[in-house]
Amino acid sequence: MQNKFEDEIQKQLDDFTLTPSNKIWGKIEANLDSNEHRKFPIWWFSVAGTIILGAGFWYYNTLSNTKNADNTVKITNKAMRINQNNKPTNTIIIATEEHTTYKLIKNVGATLIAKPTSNNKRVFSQPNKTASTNNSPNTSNKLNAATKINSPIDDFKIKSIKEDYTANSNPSLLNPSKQNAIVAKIQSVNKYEDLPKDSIQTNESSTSVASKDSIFKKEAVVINIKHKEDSITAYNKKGKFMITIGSGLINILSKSPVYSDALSSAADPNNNPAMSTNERTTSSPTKGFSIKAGLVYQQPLALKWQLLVGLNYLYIQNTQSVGLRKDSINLSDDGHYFEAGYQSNLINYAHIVQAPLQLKYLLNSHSKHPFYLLFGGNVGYQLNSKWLVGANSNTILYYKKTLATNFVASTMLGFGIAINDLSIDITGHQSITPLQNSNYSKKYLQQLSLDVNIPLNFFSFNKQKK
Amino acid sequence: MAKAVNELIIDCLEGKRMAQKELYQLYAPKMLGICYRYTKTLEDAEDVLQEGFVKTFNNIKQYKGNGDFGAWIRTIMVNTAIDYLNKHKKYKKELQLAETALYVASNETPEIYLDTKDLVDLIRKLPIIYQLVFNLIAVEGYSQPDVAELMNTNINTIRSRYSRARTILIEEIKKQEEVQLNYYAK
Repeated sequence: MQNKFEDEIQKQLDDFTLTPSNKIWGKIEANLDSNEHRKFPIWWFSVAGTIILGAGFWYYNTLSNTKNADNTVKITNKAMRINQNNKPTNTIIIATEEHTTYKLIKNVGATLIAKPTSNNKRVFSQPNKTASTNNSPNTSNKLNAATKINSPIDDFKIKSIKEDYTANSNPSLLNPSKQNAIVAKIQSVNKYEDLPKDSIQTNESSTSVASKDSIFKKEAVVINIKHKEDSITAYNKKGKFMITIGSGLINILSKSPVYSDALSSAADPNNNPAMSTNERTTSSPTKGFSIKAGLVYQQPLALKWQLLVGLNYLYIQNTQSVGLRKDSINLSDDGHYFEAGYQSNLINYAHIVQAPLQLKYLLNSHSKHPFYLLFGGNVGYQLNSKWLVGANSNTILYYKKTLATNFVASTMLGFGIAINDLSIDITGHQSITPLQNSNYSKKYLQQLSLDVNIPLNFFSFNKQKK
Repeated sequence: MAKAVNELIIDCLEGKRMAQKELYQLYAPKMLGICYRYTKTLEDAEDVLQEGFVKTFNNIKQYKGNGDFGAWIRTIMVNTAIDYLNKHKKYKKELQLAETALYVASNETPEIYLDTKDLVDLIRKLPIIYQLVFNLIAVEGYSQPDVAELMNTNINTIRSRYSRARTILIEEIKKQEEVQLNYYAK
């Protein structure tokens, strides 16, 4: 196909060149920089993703272990065997430590998981029925009516196999209605005020019956299960205030080059403090730290959902080493003196007041230490900040407070665990508005934070416990 | 003293910005010349150049070192230019237009006396669809089946477009040369 014409064209055009405008390299550099910075959140989110998937897998495993064909829980496997052998018609109630979740399982053994309020030992009485309890966590022997299960209150997980109350009930223990029932330990009767009235009803008169069996008054009730549903759920609707303290790592993501030709952030490769005109790089140290403190209000919305709102103070800081070109003008800007040809350390910082708005999803609400996911965002206001912006073609350096944007918003994703009323969160934040906005550089904040939330009544509560 | 291209490539593999800049400075003028041939404005050509170099540096690991590095970058630039044309409305619309006019194909092979810049400008005056096909076949030396595959169309269409582009260009070259001759004659 090639002929003389094409050959001629190729020959002529082979040497055709044009000089690109000066700004092109800057744009390429900015693009390469943002690509480099983008690696961080990808890595970050992949770690977060792995953890979330792992947690999901763990949760799924826990859940699938606890389920059987009757929508009951794992602990009922033991009871199910009893069921097969003795055909009891008992009820199982599983309650969380805060008595927020109850699951009623029909026609199996009776189990309660609950957390008591005092250090006293509690004695639970078994009804007059002997059952095969080879799988009981408390004993491998057969239980009989005389068996008493002593549980240290602080580690009170009744995994006792209750007998068939209906068919073989001890009348003194059961309420008069003779419905399926279980003696349940709760923190106080008041705890049940928020429960749906049509699902669980406390029976004060039964409390006194129970007290005969060494169950302390007002600390135990008999719960009558009115509705024999497979699952009854309720949650404590009372919100609580928490103090938040936290610390973390930050990454400042620049959408465009921080530096112009006047600057360099890298040390001179020849260990010569004087920067040579040609030794410049745009890679900039952007990592730093954050400190946070504030107050958060947590309001349960549903069994597994909680809303958190609050007010935090956030301080972020990073340090960068900046070299000014030899041929630059020595200058002092906003109180900081820069000497041309030398490295100079700058501290970038921001004081931010922010209001978090977060949703918490409990993965295992029935657990003593619920694991949860967090997502939401923050809106904030930069009270005071100072960022290195860059330098213009006249080598004038900008390191100013004034170019910061006051309003900052960010998205948030994380997870956490509640341990003994404390909740520990690990969250990742990505700002959606720039911290600093100028023609030279827009800076976005990425933050990985470890926070501890302490309920306001935590200290008094622990004191009480002692 | 300027480093050899191979050394620059090794430094670029390590992400050294200075090496990237040197490599850019070395190849940018020639590559801009290529980008310019594929677009209608210098701004667009610079956009393609920018995208092309970003791709180059991000994918430099893929360069195996067994060919001319300049040719490798050139391929990236050409592909980036095609992507650019397909991506931007003003080009995309024209690229999708079907040919309707009948024409007589020219088999002439005129001598070219125009200077390079004038020749490039004449190529750039071609309708974009012909400009692209002409550049790929006549200048880059792609085969017609290759171009058909690249542009996701059939070979007859490419053959037809190339023939048309060639005819128009030859006519334009002759016209331009005539104008210049007349000018110098005066």
